Amino acid sequence: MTKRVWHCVLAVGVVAGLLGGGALPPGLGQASPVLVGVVAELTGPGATVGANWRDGVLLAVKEINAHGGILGHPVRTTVLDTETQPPVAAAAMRRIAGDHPFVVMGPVYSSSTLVAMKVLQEASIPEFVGSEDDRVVREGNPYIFLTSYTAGGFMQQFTRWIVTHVRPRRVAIIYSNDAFGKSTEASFVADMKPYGVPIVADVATAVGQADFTGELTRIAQAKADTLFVTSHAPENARIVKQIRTLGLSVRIVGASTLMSSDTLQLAGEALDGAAGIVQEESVAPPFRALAARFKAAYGRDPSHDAIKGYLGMQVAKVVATRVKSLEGRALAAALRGITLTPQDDPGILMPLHYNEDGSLDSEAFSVRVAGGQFTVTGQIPPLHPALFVRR
Amino acid sequence: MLPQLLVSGIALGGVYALVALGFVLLWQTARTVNFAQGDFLTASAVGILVLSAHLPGLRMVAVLGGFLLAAVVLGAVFHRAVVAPLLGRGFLPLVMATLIVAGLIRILAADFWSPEPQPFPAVLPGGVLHVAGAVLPVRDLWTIGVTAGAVGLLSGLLRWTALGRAMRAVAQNRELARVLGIDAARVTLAAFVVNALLAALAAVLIAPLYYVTYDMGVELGLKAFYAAIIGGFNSLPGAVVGGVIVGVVETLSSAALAGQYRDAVVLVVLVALILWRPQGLLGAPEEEG
Amino acid sequence: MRARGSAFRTGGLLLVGAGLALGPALWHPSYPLYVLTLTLVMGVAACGLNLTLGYGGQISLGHAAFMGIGAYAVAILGKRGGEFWPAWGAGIALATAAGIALGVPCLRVRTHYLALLTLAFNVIATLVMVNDEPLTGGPLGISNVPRPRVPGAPPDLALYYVTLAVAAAVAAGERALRASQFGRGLVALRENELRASTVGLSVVAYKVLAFALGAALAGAAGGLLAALTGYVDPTPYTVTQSFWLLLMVVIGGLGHSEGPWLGAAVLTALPEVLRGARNLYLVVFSLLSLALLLMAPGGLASLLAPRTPPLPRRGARLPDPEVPSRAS
Repeated sequence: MTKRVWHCVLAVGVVAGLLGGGALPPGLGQASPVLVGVVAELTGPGATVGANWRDGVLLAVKEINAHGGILGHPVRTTVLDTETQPPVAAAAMRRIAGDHPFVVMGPVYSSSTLVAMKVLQEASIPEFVGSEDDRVVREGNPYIFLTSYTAGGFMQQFTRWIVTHVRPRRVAIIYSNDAFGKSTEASFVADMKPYGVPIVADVATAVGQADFTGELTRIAQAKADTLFVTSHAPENARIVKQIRTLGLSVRIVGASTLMSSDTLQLAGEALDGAAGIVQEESVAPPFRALAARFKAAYGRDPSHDAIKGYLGMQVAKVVATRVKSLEGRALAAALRGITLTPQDDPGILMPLHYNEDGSLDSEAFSVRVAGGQFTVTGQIPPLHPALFVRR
Repeated sequence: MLPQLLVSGIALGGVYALVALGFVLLWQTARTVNFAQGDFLTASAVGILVLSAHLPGLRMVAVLGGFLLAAVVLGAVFHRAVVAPLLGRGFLPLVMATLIVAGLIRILAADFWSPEPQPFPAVLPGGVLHVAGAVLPVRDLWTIGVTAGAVGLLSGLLRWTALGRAMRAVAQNRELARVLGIDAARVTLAAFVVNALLAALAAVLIAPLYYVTYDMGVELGLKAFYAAIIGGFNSLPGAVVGGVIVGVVETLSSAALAGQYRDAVVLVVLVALILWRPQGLLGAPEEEG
Repeated sequence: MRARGSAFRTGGLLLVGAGLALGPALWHPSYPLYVLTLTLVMGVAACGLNLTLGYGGQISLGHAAFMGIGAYAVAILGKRGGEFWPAWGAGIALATAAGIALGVPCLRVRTHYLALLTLAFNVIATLVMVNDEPLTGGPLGISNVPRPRVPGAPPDLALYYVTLAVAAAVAAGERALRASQFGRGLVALRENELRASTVGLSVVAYKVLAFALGAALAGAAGGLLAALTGYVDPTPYTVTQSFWLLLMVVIGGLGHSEGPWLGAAVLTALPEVLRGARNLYLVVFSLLSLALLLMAPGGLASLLAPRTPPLPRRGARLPDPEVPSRAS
């Protein structure tokens, strides 16, 4: 009997898989739809960031379609999973390129971006990614656009802020031993050098690690007064909780993976007293309205990646509207050096500027946690304020 | 600092040991390795969270419901659909099937439950104790205690009850056991149900610390696998010893060296142990089948 | 009956071979060509594991690490200005050396401890890939990996044909191996180690050789994978991927010649084909894989060629009912 059940599963599965794609329904409305490809990590270790990115993009598409689409065309999306594996990302990118989207949104992981960006470059399709590693913008690809600072750019802002506002005397850093954590650590160490503040402990942790006694012991022994916590949300929450349990007296600072609503939800009151800066988080003023709409649509606060996805999609729409074209070369050329503000379009939630290399510049916000809540304590100017002045 | 490192290492080891018990149990009762053991923990935790969301204020009911769900889905259904057809068809097919099930659980959790880590309410009281100059969270003490209790209960089950002896007989020689009148299918089913309940128990103890995330089972399962091998795959107390060794070595290495190669250090130590005592620290040398 | 069965098989193989050789020359859109090339690459790696495990009886949970050695060799030498071919050769040599180095201590250890040893090897290799940034580029690896250059052919197609040639060579080599003295020696070893050693077979030499050959094939596949994606990073060479390779070989049919290729087709190409099921595609894929495994625990190849029994599996407690027992 069991065997027959499995035979049925087999049959249904084959049919579902092969016929499921088929012909996608024609676009709604009079004009033919334009295609947006969404390629993101939906399974594997990257599902947390990729799913959020996708949800941000899809929310933007929904709102864009509610306001008449792009240049009068409704927007259709095809969502493809990279399984957080570069060879699969390369396959997905080739598949989507064959469908001729006018823009591709994603992936988020820098490794998946690096493996596949040439495919879109050769097809002259602009790509908005959630990646933040500086390497992505150093490949000389004119079709790649970030949706945030680079990791290096963020660390410039962060180190300046920490030195002026926190004024540490002995700093320690604890980071995840993956692409994100390592590039953050490298930039942090490099950018702190000119300020002359010694980094007394530099500790790597494994992703998924649950106990940090060893690492925190080293940090305590180094007598650090400030600790930059930059792993992923669950590890950060556990680190912060353990700091409290072990009774370590150290100031906790961090960036988007620490000062985010998901970390707060996990860490609870252990996060009180932490401070940091964020560029795109739901706590920051420009994104509060979006956060409410996102919560209504998906039942949770948008993460950093969700906001990036939303923003990237809106930028794509605004630029296409501006150049009155969906042609890749024209869009890419128009994007480089562009400055956009909320006055240009309500979808542009904050003033932003695209550098020649495709990285994004904007202001940031300093935040603090008190009483289980985030408060914004200040505004931080963009990396290159002069570029924001309109000619 | 050493007392703190040891205390934390032992507590961490208790977590690994609890999951490792499942590996050893299934080896003792079905001669198979369940690579979905860590993900069974995930599934149990997710089940409890989903039930809690639908039964606000009735947390203990949700927890009990979670145990029941685990026994039925991760125990009975898993046994009927995947294990029973493959037992006796060779070692690898069933083990690979558990691998597919592990992946399936992760995909379902990420796609249909939540891609984000969620907090898990603690069932046990919190607070910390101060032991030998170190801080020991009370919950960790509970984990160690429950693990020890589980070892005792399971060992008792396997050694002194008729069911337990039937389980071991079936594992050693299924055909012979049948000839002797043992209902092999029912006995194996019982083993898998016990294993599922063990996973649910581990979930309740571990999830408050680990938070519930679709891939929480990956690292846990791997470390528990190491623990089971170190302790001797055929010894329940060995799983505890193995878990403690893995936990302590991990914690000590984190304190002593740069974190990047910490897992390498742990593995080198484990490999050295294995080369020294190939049957594991407490295991009995098994005849090669 | 036997003659008809084998004529059917030969005909089928010829058809597949012709399709693979001629089809892409006529029609080669980027996506299907990529998936096909990737499938062949994984098939080569799976062949290696099939050799080590299916023939040599050595459980290898770290086979993806050998692929990684081959891949990083091509990338690292390429970064220093090397061309594909010599780098690829170097990668194969390095992977083989690693296979021998790992094989020797593994001889002392048995089944699940062998598992731990090979697992440890893979984890340590991955850590080196992630951490040794000056050498390996760290977690983000190395871009712009060199490809084999065939004058006049578009690069994707050239790589496809190179891969096809390698796959054909591997398949032919495997056939020859089975029939050769070495192959028959391995079979004898698997069936009864004690008896084999009493007739003079060097158990050590054969087992190490099985490890080395398996590693060499994986290294070759790794180098091709690096060239195919033009990029290396640690992700395709982790423990998870080693398990994936193992699954590939088991679903395809451990110990069968066609096994690795069928397994590669199922695990590499099938998910891509199923993408039409949108966000359910991996669920469908997992259920399909389970169904395949349950219907054919001996692997898909055991369904296709029931008259050629596979090499006997170590550790099987009962005879596989689908395979007629061997007379000898």
